[in-house]
Amino acid sequence: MPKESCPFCGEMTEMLLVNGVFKSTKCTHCKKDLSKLNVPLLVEEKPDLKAPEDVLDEL
Amino acid sequence: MTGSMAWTFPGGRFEQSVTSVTLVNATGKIVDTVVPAGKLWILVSIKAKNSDDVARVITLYIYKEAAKTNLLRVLQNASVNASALLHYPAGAGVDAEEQTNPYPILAAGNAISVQWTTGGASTGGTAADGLVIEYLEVSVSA
Repeated sequence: MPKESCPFCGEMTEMLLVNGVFKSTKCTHCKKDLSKLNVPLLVEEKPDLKAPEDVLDEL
Repeated sequence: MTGSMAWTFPGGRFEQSVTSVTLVNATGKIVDTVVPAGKLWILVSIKAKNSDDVARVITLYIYKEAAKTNLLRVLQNASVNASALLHYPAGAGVDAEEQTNPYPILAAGNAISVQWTTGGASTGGTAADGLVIEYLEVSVSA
C-alpha cells in the first residue's frame, strides 16, 4: 500500500485502492481530504484525426 | 528423473501498481511504496509523470526500510518538463547509478520512494496514472 506526502501537513499518509488505482484519501494526520484538492486533471492530448476544412479536396 | 526436464519460471507474479499523483503549486511530493513482509520484488520498470505545468526534478530512490534511514540506490534522477515522463530503466541522470543491473531485487521492507521537487509557482495537476511500478513478486519464507 503506497503512502504519499500530504501537502497540508507534510506527513506521509496512506492511499486508498479504488478500482485498481491507488488514490488520495483523508490524511491520517491532519484529517484534510486530499481527494478534494482543487488542481487541474492532466488530460492526454489526443491526435486530431480529422483534417481541418479546406485542407482536403472533395473526393 | 532421467529423460525429463522441468521448466520453471522463477520470476513470480507480475504486478502493475498504478498510483494517482496530485502535484500542488510550489510544493514537493513524495510517494513511498514498501515491499510487503514475506515478499521479494524484482523491479521491472517505473514510470513517473510530471502532471504540473512547470518542470520538476523527479528522483527514484530505493531505501532499505520504510523509515528511509539507509539509502541503497538512486535509480533515476532528472528534470522532467511539464506533462512529461520519467522512465526507469532508461539513461541514468546525475547522481544515479549506472544501470548495469536494471532489474534490482528488492527485499521485504525495502521502500521505493519517488520524489517530485517543487517547481515553483504553478497551477499543479493530477495525473490518474502519475506513478506506475511494474514488478515480479515472489513469496519467500523467513
